Amino acid sequence: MLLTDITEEVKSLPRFEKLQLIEAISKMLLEEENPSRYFATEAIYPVFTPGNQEKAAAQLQQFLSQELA
Amino acid sequence: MSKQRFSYTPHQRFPVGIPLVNIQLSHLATTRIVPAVVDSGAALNILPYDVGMSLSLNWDNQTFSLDLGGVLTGTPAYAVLLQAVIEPFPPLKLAFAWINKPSTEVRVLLGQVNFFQEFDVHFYGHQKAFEIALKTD
Repeated sequence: MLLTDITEEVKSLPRFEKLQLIEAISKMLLEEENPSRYFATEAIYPVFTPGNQEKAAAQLQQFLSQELA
Repeated sequence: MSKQRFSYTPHQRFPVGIPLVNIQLSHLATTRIVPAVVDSGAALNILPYDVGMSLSLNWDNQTFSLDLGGVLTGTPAYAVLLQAVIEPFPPLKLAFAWINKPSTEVRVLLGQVNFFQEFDVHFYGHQKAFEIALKTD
């Protein structure tokens, strides 16, 4: 259904039902933006990556080049 | 075979799972098969202390020290070269930062130096799967 079609149908609704519709859409948006939709409260989200290792990586690369030369 | 698909390993309290692959590591006559995280964000391969010890590596004999940063700042580390096999691919040499932290704190990680230089990796997160392929020159 196109938005223009919906708009035409909404226009014909009485004021009270329009307000009900606004409330329903607001609730829908809140649910969609709720973090629990994406993250489980009981879950553990492990992060393994040790960041900022550029210097060590360059050293390891140098070691590798030496060993394989 | 030039390409192999792996499923994410389910984790009891982590719904998505972890991209783990079993890797056979060898040093001299000692061989171990350990689960390792395929971690594109890691700048280098990481080998926890106890895993290195189980491979008969000698911490006191190491000479090539590494300067770790970030959350591992100050953690002593040495560069070590191991023979590695990920089935069904042929053996190859992988360089690891052997760090003075146990595997209860840090997993075996396969990072940019030099795992990602040897293999092409594609992640299919929605399918909870990833593919490892031999590098193509």
